[in-house]
Amino acid sequence: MRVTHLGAHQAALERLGSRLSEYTATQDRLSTGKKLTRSSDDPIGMNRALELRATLAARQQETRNADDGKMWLDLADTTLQDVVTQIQRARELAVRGSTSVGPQEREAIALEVSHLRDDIVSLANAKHQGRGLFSGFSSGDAVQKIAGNWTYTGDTGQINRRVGENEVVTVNVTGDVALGFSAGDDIFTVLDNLEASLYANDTTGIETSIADLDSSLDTVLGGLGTIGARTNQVEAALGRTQHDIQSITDQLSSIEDVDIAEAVMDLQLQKTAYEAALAAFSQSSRTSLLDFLY
Amino acid sequence: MSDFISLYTAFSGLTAAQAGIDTASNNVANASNPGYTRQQVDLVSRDPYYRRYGVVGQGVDVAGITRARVAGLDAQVRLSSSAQGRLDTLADLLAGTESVMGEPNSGITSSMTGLWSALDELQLDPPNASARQHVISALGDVARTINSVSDKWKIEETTASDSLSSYVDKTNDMLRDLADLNKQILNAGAFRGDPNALLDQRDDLLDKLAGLAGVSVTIADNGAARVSLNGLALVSDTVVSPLSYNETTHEISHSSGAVVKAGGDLAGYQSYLQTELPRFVDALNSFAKDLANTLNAQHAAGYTPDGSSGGDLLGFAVGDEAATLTVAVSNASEIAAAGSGAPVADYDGLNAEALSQLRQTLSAAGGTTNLDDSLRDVISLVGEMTAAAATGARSQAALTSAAENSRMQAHGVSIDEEMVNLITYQRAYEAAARVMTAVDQNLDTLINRTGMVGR
Repeated sequence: MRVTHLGAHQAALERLGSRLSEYTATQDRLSTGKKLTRSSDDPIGMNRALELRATLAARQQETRNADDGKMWLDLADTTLQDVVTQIQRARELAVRGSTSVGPQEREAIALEVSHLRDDIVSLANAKHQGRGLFSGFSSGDAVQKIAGNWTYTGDTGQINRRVGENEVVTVNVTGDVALGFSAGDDIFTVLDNLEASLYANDTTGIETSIADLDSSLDTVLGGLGTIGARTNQVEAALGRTQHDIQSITDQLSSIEDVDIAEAVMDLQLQKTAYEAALAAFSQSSRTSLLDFLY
Repeated sequence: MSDFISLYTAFSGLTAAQAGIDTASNNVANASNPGYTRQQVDLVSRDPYYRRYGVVGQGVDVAGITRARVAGLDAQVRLSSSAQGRLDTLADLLAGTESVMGEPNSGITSSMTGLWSALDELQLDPPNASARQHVISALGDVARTINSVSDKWKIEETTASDSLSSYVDKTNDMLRDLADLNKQILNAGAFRGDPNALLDQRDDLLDKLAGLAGVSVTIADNGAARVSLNGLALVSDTVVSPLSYNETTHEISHSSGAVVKAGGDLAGYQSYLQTELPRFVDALNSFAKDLANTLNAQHAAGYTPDGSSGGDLLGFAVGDEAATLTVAVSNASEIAAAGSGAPVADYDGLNAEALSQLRQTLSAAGGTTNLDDSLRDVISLVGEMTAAAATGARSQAALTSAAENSRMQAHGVSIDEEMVNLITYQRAYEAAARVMTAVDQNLDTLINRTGMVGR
């Protein structure tokens, strides 16, 4: 084959150019730390990376949702625990009132029972950030005495939190269920009856109230049970989500990030190849017949 | 005369060697001129002279100095530079189109992520005015990034169309230059001038025309280059039939009115404007439309705090959805977060929940995929086409440079070879001069030494 000097130079120059461009591409990868900077670098990889990014954002949002849900469940739990304590105290008082105590002491007991009822009313109407713990979607009080009757004034709205891809947990209990309104024996009327029986020294009425208190306690404990089960569900989901976030981050990194060790190795090899090409060019381009003519 | 014939024979050798040395020196001088074709001296022996004892040659004539050009190699180079022009142009244009999308860090995908999380946040606290306002600004962000990609693509389209128009003009200019060169070459041939430099210039021009417009070239018997596209002549001897460009259809027509399919850079621009970009624009438009329709439908199912049904969240003009996508709500109280109306409970966030669940609903591309997936399909479409064009351009570059290299090896100057030629011709010159001396001595013997017997 005929070889010309200009042709040989240009071919050598092209080879040097391609060596150098490989070398600088690897340098770029190392300095940015990313092997995917645009979709055309690897369309399938980028599609996967974008999907993972969207999933990661969704999981992070679910973590926030679950944390928020857990806060509401914890608040409801603490509050209902307090209600339980108050009901148990009321029951102790009722038991004392049913024994042979004097009317004056019954009156004192009745007074305390009325305080306990007021406590439970304010617990039932507890709010956090403007939202009632037991009033559903409504922002008003959950329990009010309207025309002499204790009434649930919230609604049955179930507050949901998305805690997983397809997992939604209700994070509230409404007062109509937890405080016995829907079963027709709310704790407030029970306490009102107890108070009235105490004033009236009606031991039979007091006995009835003790039985009613027991059933109210069961209702509230039932609500607590529901809250406990949902808390477990949220916590389990939170654990799964956090695990997911970890594994998505790992996958994303394996798609988007440069394997440093491999890239450094490539860089070293390409540097050697480039230097060898430079050396070969400088040797061969110097030689011509002219060197040997005189 | 017959006794002096050898002197003339030797003289012809001197002339031939001189021509060889001149040519070699011209070749060496042009060794680093890439458009130069190596020249060589064509020698023919003169008609012989009949003497009584036989036929003796009368020396050598210089028939001409010709270019060492192989037409087949030119055709190869022009074919591959036409493909190269198309792929390079297309790859450049697509790379620009892709990079204005700003993916993966600042494009539509990240604004969509912002929208879904704003809707989830709204569900956490439905009556919160700042959560509601946040949904509106997230919607604005989505609309703006989609508008901006669409606007930038429109600018890319205008720029590409303007470039194509000026490239068509440039092609016409080059066609006229070619016709001029044809004229000069035909004249030079007629007056026995030396057209080698003009031929080099014309070959260079033909190479450029091939890369620009993918024209086919034939060299006619009279020496003129004829250039055509799809069999329609663009330059025939000295007559030019210019091309024209239609900015709306992006078609290129011959002066006869027929639409021609060009190659080279022109084809790259045409393919981008007629095929690739319209596909991207359609895909983005249908995503924008699906997004607006999906969100609007779910929003209409919810209730604003005053109990009225939700209005449109996003508005658009049919047929130009991506460019015209706008946020249709401005006030926090227009967001329909509640799932039931009359009366609306403050903390009812059921519709906000439903809106954020749209992330997973198969509501895009005719109900076959969800919105995020359909957006990623748009990005992948652009990425795949860009990658394919870049790969094509890279592999074509190897072919092009191989073709160019093998032509350069055949046409270019080898300094070693010229040195050897120089030595050959120098020795030939010396030898011819020596012959002259010998003939001269013979004549000297004949003239001065004859008739001196016994002196």
